Amino acid sequence: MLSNYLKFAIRLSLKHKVYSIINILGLAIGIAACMFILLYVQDELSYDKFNKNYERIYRVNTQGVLSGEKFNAPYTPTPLAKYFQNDFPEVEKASRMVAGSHKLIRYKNKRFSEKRFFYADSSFFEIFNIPLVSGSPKTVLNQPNSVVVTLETAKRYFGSKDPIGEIIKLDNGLDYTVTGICENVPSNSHFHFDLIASLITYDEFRYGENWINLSVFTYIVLKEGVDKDQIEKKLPDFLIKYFDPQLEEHLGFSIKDFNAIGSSYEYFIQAIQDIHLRSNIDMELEPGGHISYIYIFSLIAICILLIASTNFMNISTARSAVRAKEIGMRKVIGAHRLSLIQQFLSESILFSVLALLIGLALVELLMQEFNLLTGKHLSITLFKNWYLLPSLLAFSIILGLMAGSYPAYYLSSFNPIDVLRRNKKIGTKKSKLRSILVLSQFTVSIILFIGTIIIYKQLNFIQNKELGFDKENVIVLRRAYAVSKKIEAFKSELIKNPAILSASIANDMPGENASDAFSFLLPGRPTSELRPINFLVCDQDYAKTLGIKLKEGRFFSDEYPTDSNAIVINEACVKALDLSDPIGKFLILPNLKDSVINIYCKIVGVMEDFNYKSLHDSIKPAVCFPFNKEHWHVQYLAIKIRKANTDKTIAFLEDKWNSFVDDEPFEFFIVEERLDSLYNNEKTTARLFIIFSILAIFIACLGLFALASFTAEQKAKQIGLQKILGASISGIIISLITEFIKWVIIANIIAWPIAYILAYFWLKNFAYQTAISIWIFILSAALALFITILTVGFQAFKAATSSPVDAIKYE
Amino acid sequence: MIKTIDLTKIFRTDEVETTALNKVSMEIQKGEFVSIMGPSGCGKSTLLNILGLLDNPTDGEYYFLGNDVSAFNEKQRARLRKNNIGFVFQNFNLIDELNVYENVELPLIYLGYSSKERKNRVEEVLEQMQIIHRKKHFPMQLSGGQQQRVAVSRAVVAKPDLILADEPTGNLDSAHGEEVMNLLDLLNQGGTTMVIVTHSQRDAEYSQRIIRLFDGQIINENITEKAFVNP
Repeated sequence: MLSNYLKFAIRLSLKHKVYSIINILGLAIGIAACMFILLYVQDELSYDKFNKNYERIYRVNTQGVLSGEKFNAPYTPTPLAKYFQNDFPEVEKASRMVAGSHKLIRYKNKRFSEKRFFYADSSFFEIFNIPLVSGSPKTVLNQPNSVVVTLETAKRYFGSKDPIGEIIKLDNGLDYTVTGICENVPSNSHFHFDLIASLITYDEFRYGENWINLSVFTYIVLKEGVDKDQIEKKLPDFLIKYFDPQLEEHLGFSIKDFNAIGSSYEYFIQAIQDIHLRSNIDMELEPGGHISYIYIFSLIAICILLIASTNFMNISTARSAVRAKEIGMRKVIGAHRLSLIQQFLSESILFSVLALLIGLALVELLMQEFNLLTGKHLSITLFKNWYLLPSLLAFSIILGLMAGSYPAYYLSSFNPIDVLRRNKKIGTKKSKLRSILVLSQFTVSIILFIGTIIIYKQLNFIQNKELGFDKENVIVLRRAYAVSKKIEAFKSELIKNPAILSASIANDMPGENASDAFSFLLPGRPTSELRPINFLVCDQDYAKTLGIKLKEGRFFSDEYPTDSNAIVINEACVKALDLSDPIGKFLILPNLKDSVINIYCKIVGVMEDFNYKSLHDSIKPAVCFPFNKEHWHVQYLAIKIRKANTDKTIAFLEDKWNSFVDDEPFEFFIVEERLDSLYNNEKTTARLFIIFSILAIFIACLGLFALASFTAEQKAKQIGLQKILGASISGIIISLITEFIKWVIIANIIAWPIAYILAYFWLKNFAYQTAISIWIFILSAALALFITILTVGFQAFKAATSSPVDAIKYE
Repeated sequence: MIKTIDLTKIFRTDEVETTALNKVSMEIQKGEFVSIMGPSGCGKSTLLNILGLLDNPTDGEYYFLGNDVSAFNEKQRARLRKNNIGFVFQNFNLIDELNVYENVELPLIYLGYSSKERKNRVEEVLEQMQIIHRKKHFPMQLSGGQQQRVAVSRAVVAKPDLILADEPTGNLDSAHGEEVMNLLDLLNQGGTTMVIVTHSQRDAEYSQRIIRLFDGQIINENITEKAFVNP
């Protein structure tokens, strides 16, 4: 029986090729798109789950409110890990990790600039299951000056030589011995290092008892069966036990006093599996994803499948007239309804299995491009996971059943007398369900149109928002400390080149997120009102080089010898400290141990706010200190250049660098590119959304095309008669298109509020949001209309220009 | 084999009520060859549909093989139909996507025959109908007469007790028409009850009895010469 059904289905498909191709191709593209989305979502959801005990691993974070301002950080004080293990029997293991800054590493005569040089405690490899190719997890990091390198790093440094026992030299003068080699950190980890050294190398990490500074990441593994709440309940007492005494000692007030004035400070633990998608914590090591995107993509996948299945239903039921005779005859010779339903369902399953195979081929074919687009390393390993192939097959069977259910129900209901009677037409009536399906397709497509435009607009808005400084044509050299002692000479050498407009040395650059915070006080206020404010160290040309405007006062200048104690603050700082007439006022940088040597900083200027981080975060208060080459060790030298001949200018910079610096490699980045890279996540998401939306709309168009062609076929006689009676071609086209336009208009009415609500909630994720303007909706409606007219119009034109005699004869 | 008492069929739409059959009472014995004649719209096809269990009457009684089937539901009718009745239509109603062999095989599939049984039976019938040489051909590749022979093959393949033919020669030229009528006659001689609806007096001459309908009522019944030759 089944072979008979399938044979029949294949012959019928071959006979009506266009419809079959539309049906199968639509489903195949739909399945391919869904598989890509599934792989993407699966990868996003898999972050940190490669660790065997991922369900028991937590990171300790700090959060609170300081002087009315909320803060959070993924950092803890240095000794926290040790005392967590001592005080809480529920904690099985703990390890600290520090993500080091840029390092210059030497091995023999080779030099390497490393951005991902980490430090960790010896238990690190017992907590995180990054396989060691060489070395034991328990011992690789338990000695000072030991380092574990990843396979890739080992190859870079040592080639084919065995790295174990080799010594590398850091720019701080310390030597490290390679004690282990690990696999590269999996791409779905929330951190990535190339080298990881033993944290106990440093005394401060070995013996440090400072509970005030937040300087390390602390990870803990809870014992089996221990609930997160059991630890969290104990944290307030823990804070009082260790943090409170130091607070009293250094600042002269307790946590209690602190809480009394509305401030707060606490530790909390976060499951590592939540870090990638559900973390709202500032200063994460790597930009994370967002769970809302997972929901959005899953929703798109469902929409795509629904649209493709709807096409199948629409085309199958619309084409029922073609099959009426067959159905009637089968019934006459004894087929009962159930066997017909079986037949139609097996046909739709055949289609969906075929579509699955084509879809899989498409996925395989486009995987590389998809990986390039998303920056991921996804693949379908059909035969590696035993369950994958059966699951996919089951999925396509379910899809086939879903898409075939209504056509099966509808077609099997035909009365054989009606369908076998000559001239009796079946299936030509407008079906209510078909109308609902077409309407839903239009609605979903319009929502996707609007979504695409809003995402694109938001991204554009973020990238082009007035940042408060001029990001164009600024080149930043790293390791500026190499020239800082000779900075004046170096700068004057550079300025001699007319392509260079100005240069400034600073400890942070927009997008680098390298600045730290100091706690400041207003004169006469109690220490409990101390508030951390980000600080920048820069020379007098900083504002000029970055095009930052001054609102009041002035920037640092050599003309003022008293500027060593001067500061320039931003508008956000003025607001946060509630300062009126800030120029000439003081901020105190208290010395925690000895209030006698508190530093009084005089405000000499107020800068207009500028986004020195990214637009994900609102502008925070900031204080600028003047650079002093005797005291500061700063990383960056920003250089404003003329637009023309950038390559030549960079070559000039390198040349000058090499003539001033002996042993530091020339390394630079372009501010505009660096800032753009901050939005890589959003860009990828937006691109994916746009691609998948276009696919969904394309599949909907395929269905629309088939439906329009069928409508035109059905109306061939009517059109022929209209022409004989003198109707114009344009009149006929308009009458055919009007029916579909009606659906577009109704779909817009339904789609607009849904799209608005979805967009509103999505935009709430951003500190700065684009407006949801009415023109987006109007443009989407116009686009939907345009595509409909184009798709239906082609078929309408074909029908309207065909010979009326043929149509009458055909009928 | 067939008995109807006051069989009535009324078609209702929102505005119009049409009486297609009006108290038709008749009886057909096993092995009989009966023609139903009458002008277009007189209710011939409606009567054939009810006799063939494709439709239910609005009123009256219908006994098929001794059972009152007038109130049977679709499932019950389908079961009786596939086991006992074969159909031949004016426009052949072959399934275009199936070849000759597969078209004829179809009723046996629904009856659950094994593939070996099906093969034997289909080839036997196609041979009997002299169309075996065309068994791999599709309907579009056959002449009208050949198509109707295939349709007859399909009707008889499951060895039904009754064959109902709705204007079986209506779409054929006279030579092919005669060929088909001879086939039906042959089957009747083999014991199959035959009921045909026809406009053609010549076709009706093959039957033993002609029932004439007008406006949904039987206006007369004639015994043909054949009844005397082949009582």
